[in-house]
Parts: sequence; structure tokens; C-alpha cells
Amino acid sequence: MKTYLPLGLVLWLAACSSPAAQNASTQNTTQKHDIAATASEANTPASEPTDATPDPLAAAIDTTKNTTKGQIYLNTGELTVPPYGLEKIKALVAKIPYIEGEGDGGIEALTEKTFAALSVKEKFTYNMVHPESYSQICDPLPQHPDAANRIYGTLPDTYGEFMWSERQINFFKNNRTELMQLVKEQQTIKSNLKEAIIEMNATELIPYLIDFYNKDKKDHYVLTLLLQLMKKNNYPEFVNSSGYKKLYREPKTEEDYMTAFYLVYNKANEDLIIQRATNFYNGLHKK
Amino acid sequence: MKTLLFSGPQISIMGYIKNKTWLVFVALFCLHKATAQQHTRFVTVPKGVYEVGIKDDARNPLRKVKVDTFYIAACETTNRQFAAFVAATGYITDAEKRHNALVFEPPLDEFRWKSDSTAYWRYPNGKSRGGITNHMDHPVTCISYHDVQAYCTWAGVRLPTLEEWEIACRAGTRTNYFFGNNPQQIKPYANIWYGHDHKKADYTDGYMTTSPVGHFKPNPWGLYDTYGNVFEFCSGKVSPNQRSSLVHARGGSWWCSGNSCHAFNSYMIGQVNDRASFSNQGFRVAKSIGNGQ
Repeated sequence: MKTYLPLGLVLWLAACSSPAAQNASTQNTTQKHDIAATASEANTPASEPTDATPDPLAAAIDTTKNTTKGQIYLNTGELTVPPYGLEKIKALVAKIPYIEGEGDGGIEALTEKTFAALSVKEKFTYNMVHPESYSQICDPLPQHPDAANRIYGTLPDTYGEFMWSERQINFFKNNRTELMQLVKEQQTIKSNLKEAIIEMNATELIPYLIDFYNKDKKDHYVLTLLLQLMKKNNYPEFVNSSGYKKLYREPKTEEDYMTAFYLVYNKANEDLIIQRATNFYNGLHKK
Repeated sequence: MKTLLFSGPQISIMGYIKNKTWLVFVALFCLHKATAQQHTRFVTVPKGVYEVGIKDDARNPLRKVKVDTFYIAACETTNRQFAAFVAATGYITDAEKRHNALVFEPPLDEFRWKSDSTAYWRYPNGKSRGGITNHMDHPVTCISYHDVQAYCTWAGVRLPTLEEWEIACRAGTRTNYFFGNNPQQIKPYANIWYGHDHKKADYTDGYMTTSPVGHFKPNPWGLYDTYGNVFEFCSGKVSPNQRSSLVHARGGSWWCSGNSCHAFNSYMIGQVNDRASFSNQGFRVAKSIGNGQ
């Protein structure tokens, strides 16, 4: 008789384990209950359906289809694209195979051997235009509206659904001295280069960044970059300030969650950030 | 033994009373059966016009949408359900082929994940941290959107649309959460991250990573884990010209905290690559009326 026990258990587990079978078997028994439960609570019907408003952010980034990541980002004009071996990098990226050859996602990374064979300058170019890994789902939030009149505490999303892999991040950290020189050779400091500067913890670049900002004072995210460098290094004058508490406080309201914290852009805030960053730099690097 | 299962006429009253093993087995049988049914139960959402979205959100603007009646699973799809699919089809997931699943293990900086070549749905945190043997009722993770499509085809179901998910999650409410507007009240309803950052493990709600589906309280329509546990893939786009590889998921996950992400609400729409496999990424299924999908 004991042999029936495991047999029955197996049969029972088998019956439980097929979702399709279970869905079919349970839906009929639960449907009436569920309809009764939900119909009375679906109490917010409105009159007219409307179409969803297109997302300007997504539209700005996602303009191409069935191309590689490198090609996508090269086409946006939103990135700093270093010139070092650019054509070679473009060719290499174009040859990165898709495992199933059917989509525009998936692994799109150079092999270890190919990556290792690149010079530092070429790796810099590759990293700037070709993030190898994926961003987790919630990365693009919160939003950064009206950046022209605000100084945000955080940088906006750079690569959308992608981000740098561990080897790419390690490259920035392990080659920071040479890379800081390369940063100064670039014509722009767009979002990807700002992120790289943070990864390098390139505090030595603070005077250069301030000079770069002062050329036209239009890109307030350079000020954000200075804030991030001070934050990353726990600079006391900054982390104990009211500005820090405003920019990096714990969000409480839905508005807090939806829009990144910021300071109003004005000359006083601009001057204060630059002065603090200068003090920070002087304390670290002045000889 | 007179009181074994299936022993029929041999069962005696005295044996029944004396044999505690039998009683325990019956209790476990009933509990397991009831739990399994709960995990696979569908909730019916009636046809109608519903308000979704939130004011001033570019991704999910406030609007009214019309939907037909649909059924949505009360629980997220479990490891047990996905295992049945793999057993029946021999399916190999993207993470198994590409060895690129992204896992979390403190300490890590905010929004940073580790690529683990050994991680896939059977070992969602990597092989060194153990498999799912004792977590068959947890949501399946480390599966890509592409994998989920294969599962749905096999199971005769589909993903909910972005709007369907929100309608079911809101359960007739218009507040930011189905329980109101105060996020501090989420604890009975969701497996989320309560730590200030992700430098050390957080077990405030009993779980650092996934929890069994249906463990926390449901929403008013009987859906469990709409907030937290795992992000749930949905079909649909937020922009008509977005790249085909960009897909969306909702509801937040065990990783999400008030300081980072905060996607455990009724309105936020996340995005991810359709081949990415994260250990906080899962799904719940839906069905249309009148046919399997």
C-alpha cells in the first residue's frame, strides 16, 4: 500500500505543474468569482479613449532600427565621439555577431582578444560609443526637465537600455592618467564623457572643467559633474552644505520620485559650486 | 498501517486519529493544492474605459484607454511553471546561451549589477549562491523578454499590455498606489528594498531577493506582488518609433528602494533591452476573452 503514496504524489504534482493545464482548469472555476469581484470595483470608467502622447525622450534616442549600438549612438549627436581609431572601431563594432542574427539586442561586445589588442586610445573610443552591458529597468528615471534653468544633482541617462560592462568601467579606472589627457583633447564634454570622468574620479580635471564651463556657461551639467566629483569624494564643505541636503535628500513625494532634485540656476549658485570645486581641488592637488 | 493514503476501506477512525503523519499529509496536500491554484488563478478585468497614467509624465501621460475584457494572472509566473515549460520544450534561455545574466550581491553602487556567466533561471544569483530547488514558488527571473515570448506561446497566454497591467494594478483606484498615496504604507503589500543604499543586504521584509509569489497582501482585485518582487514585462511601446529591442516592464522589484528607482507604484514604466536577463526581472501572464491569447 505504501507504494501508492509516492505514486499519488507524483500524479498530483504532475497535474499541478503545467500552467496551461492549470489555467484551463482553474479559469472556469474562478472566473465567475473574479467577475463578481471586479465588476463592482471597476468604478472609474471614463467617456472617451485617447491616444498616448509620444515620449519625446524615446523618440530622440531611438531613431534607428536593426543597427548596432555603436551606429545608433554615433548617429544621435548626443555623445562625445573620440577620433582615435574611429573608423577601425566602427568596422569592429559592425562585425560583432548577433548570436541568433535576428535582432538588435543581445551581446554586442568585442572578444577579449580583440579588446585587449586595442590601444588605450582605441579602447577609449570604443567605450565612448559602445556600451557593452544592459541598464536595469528603472535606470532612465527620474526625469530632468528644464535643464537650462536648473542645476541637477545627477546626470541624465546616457545610453538608455545599455551601460558599460565591468571591463569597460575597469578600463576607465585603470587608465585614468592617460585618459585624463585624452579628455582634454575632446571638443565636447557630453553625457558619456561626463560619466567617464566620474568613473575615473578625475578630480585633477576640475580646473579644466571649470574653464570649459566658463566658455559659454550653457551646459549646466558640467556643474553637475563638479557636484558629483565632490560627492564621490565626500568633500566635507559640500556634503555638509544645505545644497547637498537639497540635491541628495531622500525623496518623499511622487514629485520627488518623478523629477530629479535640482538647484535653481542663478549666478549665486553657479559661483558657489565653482568656488567649492576650486577649494576641493586646491585641497587635493595644489602643490 | 491502516491509515495510508488510498487505503480506502482499511482506514479506521482510531487509525485516522492516531496517525498524525496522515493528518499532516492531508493538511499539506490541501494547502499545497490551494496554493498552487492561487498561483495559477486568473482575475477577470471587465471591458471598459479606464483612466491610466499620471500628470506630467512623458512616458505615461494621464489618459483614458478602452480595453476589452481580459484575464490577468493573480500571481507572477513561478519557477515551477517555467520549469514545466522547459521540461516540455527543452527551451534554452538567452542567459544560458549568452552567459550574460546580471545579478546583484551587496555591496554594489546604486544601479550597478554584476554580470555572472553562471547565472540563469535555475541559478538566478549565480551557481555559487545556490539554485531554485527550494524556491519553486518564487517568480522566475534571469529570463529575457524574448524568453517570455516563448513561454507565452507554449502556455497559450500572452503578456498584459502596458495599459492592461496598470488597469489591473490600480484595481479601480486613481491614487499612486492601490492602497492610497502614502508610500510608507507599502510594507504589507510588497517585497522591496528598505536599505538607504545597496551596500549591504536588506532583509527588512524577510527577503533580500525574491519572495514566494502571493506571500504579501493582494490588491483589491486579488492580484499579488504588483509592486515589488520582480519587474513584470508588458507588451507595448511608449513611443511609436522606439527601437524594436526596447521593451518595458512595470511594478518595481525587490531591488527597488525609495532612494533608488521607486518603480513600485501604479504609474511608472521601466525600459530594458529585450535580450537582457536580470535577477529582478520576471512576468505575469494575461489572456484575452474568447481565445487562448
